[in-house]
Amino acid sequence: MQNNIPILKLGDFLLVTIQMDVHDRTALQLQDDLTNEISKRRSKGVLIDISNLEVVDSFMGRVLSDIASMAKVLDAETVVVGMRPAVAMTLVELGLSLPSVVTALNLERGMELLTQRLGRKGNG
Amino acid sequence: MGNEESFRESLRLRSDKDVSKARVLISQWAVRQEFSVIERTRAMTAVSEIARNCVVYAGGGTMYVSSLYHEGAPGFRIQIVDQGPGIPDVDQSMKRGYSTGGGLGLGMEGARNLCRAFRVESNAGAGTTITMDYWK
Ligand SMILES: Nc1ncnc2c1ncn2[C@@H]1O[C@H](COP(=O)(O)OP(=O)(O)OP(=O)(O)O)[C@@H](O)[C@H]1O
Ligand SMILES: [Mg+2]
Repeated sequence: MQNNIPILKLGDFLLVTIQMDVHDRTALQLQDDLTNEISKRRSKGVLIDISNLEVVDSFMGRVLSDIASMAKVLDAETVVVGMRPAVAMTLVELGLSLPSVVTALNLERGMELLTQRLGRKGNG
Repeated sequence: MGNEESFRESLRLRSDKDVSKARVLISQWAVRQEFSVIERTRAMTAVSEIARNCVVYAGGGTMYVSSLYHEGAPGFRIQIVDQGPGIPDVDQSMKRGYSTGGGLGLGMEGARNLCRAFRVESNAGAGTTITMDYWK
């Protein structure tokens, strides 16, 4: 059995590192766990590191975009970081555009982006 | 590894865990045949779509992988076979956005774009066989 994906605290943000392969049910569990964790900790930002993940298909794509929408409802921003170039290309060929998913090259850039977006929000 | 040309593997597909095993199996085939990373990712993604359809819409089935040569180029053939309800209108099922399961209706058309050759054999009530070929 695949274990649940751990959710770590990284400063004011939550960090999730996805492994090489994820069962569908594990991905759905992550969606639930993140919802609970965001509301419990009142987190303002979520980073999802997919640099190890080898496949984003229509199911995983939908989970990522559902997580982003759900987080938004709870007033948190989500950034998906580290998507492999081959995964990005395949997504395009699959015809899957993820309009609600914000991406960044790597974790550092993702952190910067979140901080920026939250700063702007705070000032506005 | 014995005679590569007659090498054939099968995998039962019953659950989301088997869909994950299917991705891993195809990854091993692509690595063994020294496919590029992008081609390996395409094959894993296409298999993921079709194997999941098999589990979700037909209650499960079997995946077969065998080696092939296309005009001298090495590759592999993936067949996903089920005895489920079949697809009454294959052309319609291939259209982007068509889904009877509340999905995005991307899987079939997407998988077709991600392989060299794609074939659907299906009859209402008589199950579905989907064949996807990869070669270098
Ligand atoms: N093995 C199968 N047996 C019976 N019907 C199938 C099978 N595979 C696909 N279908 C039918 O074809 C439709 C289209 O499949 P496709 O994978 O393109 O979209 P989806 O699974 O509905 O959504 P998505 O893959 O985007 O999550 C399905 O909704 C289903 O009605
Ligand atoms: Mg599908």
